[in-house]
Amino acid sequence: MNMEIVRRFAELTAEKKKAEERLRAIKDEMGALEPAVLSELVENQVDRMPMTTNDGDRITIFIHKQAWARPVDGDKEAVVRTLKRCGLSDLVSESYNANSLSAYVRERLADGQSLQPTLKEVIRVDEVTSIRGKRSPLSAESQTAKAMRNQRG
Amino acid sequence: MAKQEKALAKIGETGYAIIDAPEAHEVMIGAFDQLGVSDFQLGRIKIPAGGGMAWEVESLEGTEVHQDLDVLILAVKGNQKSWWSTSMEEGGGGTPPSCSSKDGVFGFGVNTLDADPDAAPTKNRCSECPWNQFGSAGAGKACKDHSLLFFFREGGRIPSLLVVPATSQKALQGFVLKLIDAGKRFEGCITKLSLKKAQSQSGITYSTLDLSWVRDLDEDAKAKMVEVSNDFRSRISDFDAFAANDDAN
Repeated sequence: MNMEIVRRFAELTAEKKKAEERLRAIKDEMGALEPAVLSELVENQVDRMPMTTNDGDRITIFIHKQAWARPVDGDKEAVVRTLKRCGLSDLVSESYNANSLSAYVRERLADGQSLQPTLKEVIRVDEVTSIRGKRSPLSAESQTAKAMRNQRG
Repeated sequence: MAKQEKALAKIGETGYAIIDAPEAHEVMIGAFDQLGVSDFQLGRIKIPAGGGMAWEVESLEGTEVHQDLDVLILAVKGNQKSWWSTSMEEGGGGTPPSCSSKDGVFGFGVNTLDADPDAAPTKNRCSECPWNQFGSAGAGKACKDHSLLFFFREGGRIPSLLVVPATSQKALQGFVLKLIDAGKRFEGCITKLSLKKAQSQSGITYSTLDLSWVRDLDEDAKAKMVEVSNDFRSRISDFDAFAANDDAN
């Protein structure tokens, strides 16, 4: 067994997790500072500020304005109904959540239930193989393993 | 159709003593240097409670009521935060905040409810403070964000102060951004301060600040106002809006 590539994969997995944690922390800090920076720019009446960081990176901080349409009180369904009614149905797309559907299928098959015939006609259940790494020990049998075992009968 | 240009306000004709009166700038700076801006009782106007649509302004003749105020903005100081450990009903009104920040990043004070009355103030990071999180006071924040807007009223030689609450921050920032976009500065034009009615999601009616451009100062008047503004701004880095006036909150 080529332990070198397996070890490298493990190292990259650990590095990726650390980078993700660092990115989350950076985003959190930027989010916390953003109102204060906006206020500073407004107070000093500047809309952009080119600067060089301590590491020598040249960054221009600027005020970016963009209009976003959001549903009143979060009522997305009302927006969909209204768009359809006022001839803007092109902006509405019916879709499904691939993660939720896959989770539903995994759970059903893992429980030993077969899929509804009509659903079986329109979806394909594939086992996607990938390599992952995690710090905690693996569980005895994953939902996917159970689902695929039950599907094979 | 071509836009009709509004006449520029010239020195001697602006109606604002700080520009029209030759000695006004020097007198104002002299007064601040002698008494300190923080300790100086600046005239204040407040956004009225309960959705009121008029400004109440103190003058030598008593209280005047105005629908709008045409002002010269001198400075804006943002990133201010204040938190009171007791509510206004419990005695928090009229007292200095328990913890406050002048940069929006660090607060200074006692930011716990169960602190000893003699507890020493500490430096607290605002982003980690529970009172600065949405949901700490209903859906909103217990720690109040505000900006300080310093301005001259017509005829005035000493600036007045408006504490701009969180509900009006967007209007203030939006107005300044519009000016920047148009190549203007707030010291270089006359601004109208008005009030607009708004309603919270829970149905409470309140007033918000509404700012609009009136007309530009001419180049000489603008240069003078920028000079006054720079002198003033260099003296307000430590300005404490709640130390000098006990009815500010």
